[in-house]
Amino acid sequence: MNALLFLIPISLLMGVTALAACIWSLRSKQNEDPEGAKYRILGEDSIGTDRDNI
Amino acid sequence: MSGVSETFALTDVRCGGCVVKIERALQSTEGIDYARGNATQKRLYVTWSDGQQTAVSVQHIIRQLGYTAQPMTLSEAEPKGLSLMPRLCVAGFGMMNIMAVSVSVWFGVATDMGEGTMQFLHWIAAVLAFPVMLYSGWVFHDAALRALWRGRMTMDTPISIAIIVTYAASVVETVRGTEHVYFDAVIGLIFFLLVGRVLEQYMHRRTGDAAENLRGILNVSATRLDPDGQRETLQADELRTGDRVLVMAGDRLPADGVLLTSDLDVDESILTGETRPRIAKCGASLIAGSFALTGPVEMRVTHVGAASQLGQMARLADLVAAHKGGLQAASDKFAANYIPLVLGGGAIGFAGWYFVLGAGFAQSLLIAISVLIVTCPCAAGLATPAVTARAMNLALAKGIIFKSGAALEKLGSCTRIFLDKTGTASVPKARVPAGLMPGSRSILFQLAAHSQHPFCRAFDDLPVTPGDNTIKEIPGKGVMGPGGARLGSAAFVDAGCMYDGSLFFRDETGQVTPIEIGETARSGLNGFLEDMSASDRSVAILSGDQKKAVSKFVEMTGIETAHAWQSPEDKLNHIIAAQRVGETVVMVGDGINDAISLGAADVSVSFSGATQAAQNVADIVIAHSDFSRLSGAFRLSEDANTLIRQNLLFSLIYNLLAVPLALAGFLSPALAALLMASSSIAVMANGMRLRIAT
Repeated sequence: MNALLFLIPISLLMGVTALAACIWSLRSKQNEDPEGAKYRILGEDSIGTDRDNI
Repeated sequence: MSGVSETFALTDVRCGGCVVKIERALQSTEGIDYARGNATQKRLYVTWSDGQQTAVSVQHIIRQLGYTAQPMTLSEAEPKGLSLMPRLCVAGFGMMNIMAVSVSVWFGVATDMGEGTMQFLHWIAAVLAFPVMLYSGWVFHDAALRALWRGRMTMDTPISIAIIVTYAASVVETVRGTEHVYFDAVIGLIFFLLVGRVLEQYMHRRTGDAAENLRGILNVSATRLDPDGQRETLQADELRTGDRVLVMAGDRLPADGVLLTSDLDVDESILTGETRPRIAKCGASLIAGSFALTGPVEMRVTHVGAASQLGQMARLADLVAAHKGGLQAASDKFAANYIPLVLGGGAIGFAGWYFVLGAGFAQSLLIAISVLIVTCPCAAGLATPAVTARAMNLALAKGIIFKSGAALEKLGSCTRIFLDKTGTASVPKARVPAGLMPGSRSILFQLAAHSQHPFCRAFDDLPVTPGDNTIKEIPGKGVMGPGGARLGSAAFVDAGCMYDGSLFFRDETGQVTPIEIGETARSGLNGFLEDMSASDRSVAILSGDQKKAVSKFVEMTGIETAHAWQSPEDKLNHIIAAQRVGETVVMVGDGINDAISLGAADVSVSFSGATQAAQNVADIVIAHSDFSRLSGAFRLSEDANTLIRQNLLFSLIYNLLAVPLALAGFLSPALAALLMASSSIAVMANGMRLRIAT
């Protein structure tokens, strides 16, 4: 019983972290253009990648 | 970021690599703050500092890379809707964590979990489920509430009821301290339904982008050649009919017009879907929005902006887009009649198990919930619009505009086709008199090339002739050129009453020659007739023309039935008579005199060169003046009908199987949601199988 009192919050915290990461990826529009993304990673220079996460 | 933003349609990029190339080039250009392409939608979003760059200079940079970009105005009316993805993420989080708690309880009950521990875990599940039920479930609650506000029900009504009732019942059970709580079921239900919604939304988007891009490209600049030899750059919509415009190779034509100089290769794929370039001769008509592949050339403007073929096409594309927007409305309308049945089914499920079979309250409730979810008629409601929306968009890309989904469905089942002759099945063809001297011949061509009159357009192979300012057209009479040469009516050339005919040419010496205007079948007519006889459809000509001309045309094309001397009322009577004997009638026509019969036919077809009256009435307008497109439309409609029948059959079978299972208590609410969502997806995906023949 005592174990549950800290194990459950820990597991929920991990879940919330994953949820936050997921929502962050949506907010920064990383899923908007699946077609273009696969070409973007092939570029030699990384111009624009900093801006992509605005 | 301070600056100007613009969205461009990238109409000719082939793959994501091109988009990324454009993006990089722009980002390394001074004055451009931000450039981000979307290869999925073929769009580019650019922000630049005002004063350093302009929309034209950005376009120029892109053109130097070998691509075309057109500024586009995204329609404000695009329905935004609720964003589903964050709600899906939250539902996923909730489902996984509640599942962890529920599984512990299930195992705990079987072993040695104490009453207090179980209660504690239930409360954790209740607290976790609450925000998920409100936030993720809002997609359904919102729609249900809106409908309720207007005194109606939608497909979301039973779902919303199911969510709220299950949650409330579980909270009551938790307070009472029993072991039957269903928080995992509520959240699982929301999660699976949302997965279905997200996939549906994705499929909708894919079909809509093409029409949107088309509407955005009417906006181009043009170079006008003023009479004093000055060049002036202005927006396409500022052009006037009669202006002379200079077109460079690679330019998009700013307006409909006539080619004044030597041959031009034009890419008209934007309007007709035909990818091979057309070789336009001097005097040929040109379509706004098509690409000049060679050049420079000059053209005379005949139609500008909304009056141009592309403008009309864009207006019709709006209708197609409106139909797509109506997809949800159509399935909701279907649902309105069906939802009471769903609610009734749920009530029967509950009453049957609780009162008749004596099951517990909680178990009966769960069965009722499963019935509510599984009978949701989404699949049946989507069966037809999922296919028609896809078909209309496919057709649009090939230059066939279906104004309604109903026309698309009906076309395939048509049994009888009536064709108007002049201007529809046939196009005029002028024969150059054999005895004409070569010098007079070239003058004749010059005069003919100057006019837009159908008789003058009827000369094919108009040779290359430089535009001549001394040639003048007198509307309704004819064309006059240097040295007294005239082309026109008998009175205009002073032919007297010595000749019979309607077009005459008088050369410089005063010699008058009658020009015979014959007829030739519109291109693709033979193939169309073969296709129709192969599919057992009868084709007949209804013509207002004289008997002689009609029988000559019939001989040429091999059409068996033809009626001459038809007044608009006669044409109408033929159509009504055919409909009386149970035939479904297609009318193909172009004139004002066809408008009544076009309106009376089950499905009416017109070509883009037809009169405005005919185009307004017609259910289907074909942008490419070719009968093979009509054959394609028939095939598309047949294929679409097959898919619609499959979809309806599938949703019927689904309901016949799933409802008894749910009533018998074999389906948990979450499993029911999974089945329901996958049935809608199956129907949408089946619609996506539709292809169009080229």
